[in-house]
Amino acid sequence: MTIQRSEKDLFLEISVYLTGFDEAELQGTGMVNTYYQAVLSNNTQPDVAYFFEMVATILQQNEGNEDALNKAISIHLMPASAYSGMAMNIINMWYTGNWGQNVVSGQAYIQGLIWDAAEAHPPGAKQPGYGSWAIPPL
Amino acid sequence: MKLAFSQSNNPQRQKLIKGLHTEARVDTYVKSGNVPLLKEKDSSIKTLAQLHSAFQTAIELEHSTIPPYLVALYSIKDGTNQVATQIIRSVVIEEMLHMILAANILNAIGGEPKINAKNFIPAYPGSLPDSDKSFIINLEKFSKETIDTFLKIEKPAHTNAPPKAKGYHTIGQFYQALMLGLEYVNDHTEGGIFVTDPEKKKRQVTQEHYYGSGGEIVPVYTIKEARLAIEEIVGQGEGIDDTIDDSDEKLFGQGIEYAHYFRFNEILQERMYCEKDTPKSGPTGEKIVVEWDAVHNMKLNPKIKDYQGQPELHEQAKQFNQTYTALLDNIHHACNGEPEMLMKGVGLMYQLKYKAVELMNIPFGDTGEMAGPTFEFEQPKK
Repeated sequence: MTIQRSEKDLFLEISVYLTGFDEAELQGTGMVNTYYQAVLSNNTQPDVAYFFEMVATILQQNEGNEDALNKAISIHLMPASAYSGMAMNIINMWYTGNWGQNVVSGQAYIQGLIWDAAEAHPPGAKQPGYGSWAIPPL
Repeated sequence: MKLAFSQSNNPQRQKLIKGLHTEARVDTYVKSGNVPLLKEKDSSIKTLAQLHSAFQTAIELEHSTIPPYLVALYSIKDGTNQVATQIIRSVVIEEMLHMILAANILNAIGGEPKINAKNFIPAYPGSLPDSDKSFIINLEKFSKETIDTFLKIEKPAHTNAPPKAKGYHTIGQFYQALMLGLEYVNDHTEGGIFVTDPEKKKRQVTQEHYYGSGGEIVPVYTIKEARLAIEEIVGQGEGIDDTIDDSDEKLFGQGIEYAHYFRFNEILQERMYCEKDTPKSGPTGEKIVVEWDAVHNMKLNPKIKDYQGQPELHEQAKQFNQTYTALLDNIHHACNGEPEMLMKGVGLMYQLKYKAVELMNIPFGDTGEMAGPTFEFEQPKK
């Protein structure tokens, strides 16, 4: 049985492979909706439609075989020429909260994956507690 | 706008704190009118062991309010409900202070607070420890029902409500029983019950160890400070000892810090108290915007086993519980001879918040509800 997945579900699913963070971690940022909307508003409608068609295809064809899936992603999605560089822009968006030079939303900077990846925190937000930098991790 | 509840250490707070009297002895528990005469001999607590057990319960009682208050606070969506957020935060910070104050008293009488054990954590849904179980406390998102429960938690005792350490109806009754017990056991013990060994006195958490505000930390060395500490706990929570529903006393206005009961009531009534208000009139001041819908739709009383079908979510919830357990362990050590540890807990408190909000962003299956923190015991990875 194949379940028809919405574009937004596909966006979340492919984001897992593009970012290296699992689904719960991505959902935990609270940014899934905002970022999906940013994909729609920053790309042409045909690019979006073809991109998600390809995403659906490669996810289905390589189900259960992560190596093959990663290979398919690098061949079909990652080239700068593919879908106006959409996959690259999606990775940048998850990590930095920007689409190109534009800030996606006020929360995006705070929720950037870059901070978690570096085991740091966004300066000016998500503070770790006064003086905590003087204390080694528990 | 200067918000009344954000003022710390306001001397006028005493206007609302009249429950227990600092300098006075047991005879101050005798109130005017037809209130039964209370004397030391009426104390239900007669031994030091019973006192130790009662103050351990006090620590558990103060702690048991914190997860429900935090869940309601964190369920509010970022940038909305600013006044409600500030009110709940101000209350929860004071509950943390009360927990440490209760631990200080227990240490002062030679006890050892036990905070890092599985049975320290209450089950939700549940009732206040050793209470009359007259209402149920849930881990529940911010809503009118939730704030109504918070009002029940903080409800002031009636003037003629007897002190009761077991099966109490209000927290005020509970602490009155503990205060009576302290006086009784202290007077009936040769040399008193307060520790004099300098090493044991070092177990007190003092102002220098305590980060942030929420009132004054009271190191306890004698019965005098014990009275002060209990007065602060009861005063911040319930405020007055008068019958709440029909008091006509003027208790509100600028420069007065309201007790928790009244602060929660402002949220529920969506209005601030103003100068001419009385407990009977309720708040009639400035309108508060409360967006009851701007809330993460968290599942009621989530348990980690509910997440078994979603392994990634399960992992996130487990990490939250590990952080929570590490924090309890940290507070345990801070209250057992290493008070400087408390500062190191601050980072864990922040982590707890971020992890809780992350969980509330993760859908719980296809139910349309969101996950949430479960506040269960989970030993951190070594």
